[in-house]
Amino acid sequence: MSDGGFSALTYVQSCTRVARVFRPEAARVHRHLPSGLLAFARLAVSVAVMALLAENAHAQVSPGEVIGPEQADRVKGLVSPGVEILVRRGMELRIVPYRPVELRPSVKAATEQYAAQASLDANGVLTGWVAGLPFPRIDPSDPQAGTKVMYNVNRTPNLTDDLGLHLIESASGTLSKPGEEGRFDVERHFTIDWLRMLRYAGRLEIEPKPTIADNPDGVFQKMAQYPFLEPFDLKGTGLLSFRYLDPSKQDDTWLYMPALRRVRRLSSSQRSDALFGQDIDLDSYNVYSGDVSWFTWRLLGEKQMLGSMHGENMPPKPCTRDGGATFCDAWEMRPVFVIEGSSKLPGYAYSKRVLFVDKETFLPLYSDVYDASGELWKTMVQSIRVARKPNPDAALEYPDEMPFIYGFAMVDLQLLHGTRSAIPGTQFREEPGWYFNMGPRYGNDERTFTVTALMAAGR
Amino acid sequence: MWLRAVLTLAALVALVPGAQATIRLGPAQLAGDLSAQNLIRTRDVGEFQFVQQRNTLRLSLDYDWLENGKLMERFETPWLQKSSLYLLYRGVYDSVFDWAPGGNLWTNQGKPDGGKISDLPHSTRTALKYSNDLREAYVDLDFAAIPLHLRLGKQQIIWGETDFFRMLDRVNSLDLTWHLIWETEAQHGWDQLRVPYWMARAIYDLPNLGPVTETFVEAFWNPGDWIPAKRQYSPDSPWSIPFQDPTAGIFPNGPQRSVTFRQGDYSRNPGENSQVGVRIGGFVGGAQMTLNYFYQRWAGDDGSAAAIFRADPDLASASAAISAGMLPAEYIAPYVHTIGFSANYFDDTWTKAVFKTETIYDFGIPFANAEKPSPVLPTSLFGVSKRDMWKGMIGFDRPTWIRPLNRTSTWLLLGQMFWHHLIDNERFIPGVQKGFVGPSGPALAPLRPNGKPIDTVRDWELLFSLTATTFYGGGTIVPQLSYILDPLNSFNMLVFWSLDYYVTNELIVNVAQR
Repeated sequence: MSDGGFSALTYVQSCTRVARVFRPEAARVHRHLPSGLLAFARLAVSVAVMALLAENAHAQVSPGEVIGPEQADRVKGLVSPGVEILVRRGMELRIVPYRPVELRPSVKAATEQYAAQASLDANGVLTGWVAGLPFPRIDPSDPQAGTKVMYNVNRTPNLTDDLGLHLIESASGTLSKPGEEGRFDVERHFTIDWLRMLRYAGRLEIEPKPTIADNPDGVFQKMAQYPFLEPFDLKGTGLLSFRYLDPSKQDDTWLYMPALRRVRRLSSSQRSDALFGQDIDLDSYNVYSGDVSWFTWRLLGEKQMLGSMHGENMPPKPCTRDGGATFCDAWEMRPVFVIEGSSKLPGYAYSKRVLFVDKETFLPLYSDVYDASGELWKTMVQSIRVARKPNPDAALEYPDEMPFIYGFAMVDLQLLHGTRSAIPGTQFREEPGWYFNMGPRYGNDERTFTVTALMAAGR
Repeated sequence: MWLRAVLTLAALVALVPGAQATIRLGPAQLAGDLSAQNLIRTRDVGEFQFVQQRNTLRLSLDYDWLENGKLMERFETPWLQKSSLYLLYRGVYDSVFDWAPGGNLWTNQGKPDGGKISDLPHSTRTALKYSNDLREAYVDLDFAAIPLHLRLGKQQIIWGETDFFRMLDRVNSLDLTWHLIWETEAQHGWDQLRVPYWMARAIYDLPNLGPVTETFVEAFWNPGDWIPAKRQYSPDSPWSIPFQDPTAGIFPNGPQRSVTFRQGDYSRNPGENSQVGVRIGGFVGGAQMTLNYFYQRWAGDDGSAAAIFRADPDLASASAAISAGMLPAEYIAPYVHTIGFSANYFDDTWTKAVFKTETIYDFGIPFANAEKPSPVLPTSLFGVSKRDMWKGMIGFDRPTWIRPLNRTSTWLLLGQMFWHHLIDNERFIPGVQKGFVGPSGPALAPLRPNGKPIDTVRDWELLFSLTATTFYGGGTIVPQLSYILDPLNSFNMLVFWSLDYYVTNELIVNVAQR
């Protein structure tokens, strides 16, 4: 399929599924149709949606406008099918002018210095990468373009050395049915004290650079997520995970459970499994946080789409019209890579992920994930702000502008269940929330990322 | 063996509504929950006994008073990086002692002769109905220059890999008067049954040793604050294992020099009652391993058929004890050396499962020996001989898609096989006073109506467990199904299920049956 194919067949298929999500009766009828009739029905719907797409091909939005459910048709093709559903459900997009975002100087310098050494081997695995963006120039005609974009995302220019996210707040609950007044009935509320990450390669800011040499296990990144502060029944829970440089090695993961009062080794084979049964899974952190080589990636195209890159509400503002299932903020037209990925791992929950990646920052703006039968299942939207201060009300300020994903929402469009998260949580108004490249000052050193640290922090 | 006792129960149903809340005040966090648990024991269709209506309040305080080398954000602490205080209070009101339902309770022998709650004196019921405990109270200290973590105070320490059963998890003994593991509330387990002790615990990160990473040494010292596993006789805790007191009415003043299920012939001071343990751990080739050592008094709560009494071998003092209304034996909790090993390994290639194992070797556990009869009760009370025991577990955890049952979440399957092996067993021979007998065997058998021993000690004991759990409704409905099989004891088995429904953060409903 050519790159232009995205805007035709792929998008039509997506829209078909959108229609089915919105019309459960039609979906039920579909399931009872013989396969030949089903194919014919799909074709008929596709043709109809293609016509609709053509009609909206020139859809544009202007700064100053607020796009809500009544104007949802106007963002067809400017957002993903899943995001379009969220708009129809009450998520409002306040359109603001496009503002370019530049990579910070250290990333630019490392990219210039090292990019020529990076390449993909015959299996599509990154080799020779040292630091910075491995593939600053993406050729859309390159059959490996999708993989290269994803390595740019994965070796993200935003997280280079370490990161501490403080006081993450999540709410999980049931959404109202289509046609009903927007409602988000919160069932579970989570607060996590710290989510920390430490990179062993590609380091640019803190010694040792660019790698931590004492690394006998060949770790690429460690992640520590502890302790949970609420709910009370999970208070003290902690998670530790190691990602290895060798892509053939699955992550090692440990969980501290308060009911057990000890650390337990977890199988990380099912990273698409819903974490604690919620809507989000480990692989969906930052839209996709698995290893690039575990998926087959395809660049479906490049286009101008809407994304929330310069959010203005701090803390993020839950949308009122959908009951608060998502966040409403400023959206702007962004240059976007559309990437489709299908897992190479057996038993993966999703048949594919479609990611919408900002071309300037390589931050995923949102993604749609599809179930085993190809139906649109979940949508994730990130609320991003680019600034020197992670929180205007906090003292912490970085020398360069940094991107802060201060809110995200993951919505299960089939189950009508959602999880929204704010970093920092909405009740912590003076908390910076984002601690980039702080090293030991804020506990982002190797001592924090050990099984013993997880044991010691357990309650 | 107490598993077998549980297996004789027919079924129990638990309903646990719970409510919880969290308040954060700067670096301090106050959280709590309130739960109500109702247990109904149904031995047969149409027969049931309401055995528990427990209302539990838990309150916890976390105070991160020292962070990033600063105490209360003001004072520099150059040698300390981090410190916090943790307090956990648990208050209980068991309304069943006010309600005092009549009807004889069933015992673990399946007989309705466990006494009536209504027969307990009012003062006894009043004493039993409330429980107020500062369950945990400790300070955590993380040092700045050395990779040392200290936890000082009243706490629980859990080592090992097993679920539901105890081998390396032996630092804290169990309070079996609380209730059984299968009846703990949603999201709780042994943590509610363990007896927290005042202890010092240290974890020190060692440098990488060649290919071994994540290396550490951990040690604890309990300076005298140790008690054996707590038990009560029926009907004082009708929800617990329904033991009858075999000495009731015969030896009203209890055993010699000791208190049954509370304290042996020793003082609770550092010289006579300290416990220590140390383990080293590391990660190599994808496997995580620990080597463990304990020197502790024998708690008697890991399922071993060990002796709990030692007959007084002296005729004069034994006779004097009987005259004084005392059992001519003492409750024993001898010191035992234990070495252990645990490991886990995640096979990401073939099975996608985590495999785990745990094994211990106990030196010198006491067993009632029929060759050492009491001089005054020679057919019913015996001295003890010490033997070594080897115990172990191998198991697996595997998240598994079973899409016809759940399209959105995996089922977590947990399987375990346990064994106990008594080294150099002395077999009990009926009619001949020879061999080891269990704690509820003929040591007190003549005091039973049928006069027959029920529990001789086997060379081997085996147990299998399989548990499956998943999430539905975006994590709001959590079913669990478990099966336990004891193939050596008449293929006894236990099946139980539970269902947690998280209505909101503030309200969780649990329904269970076994």
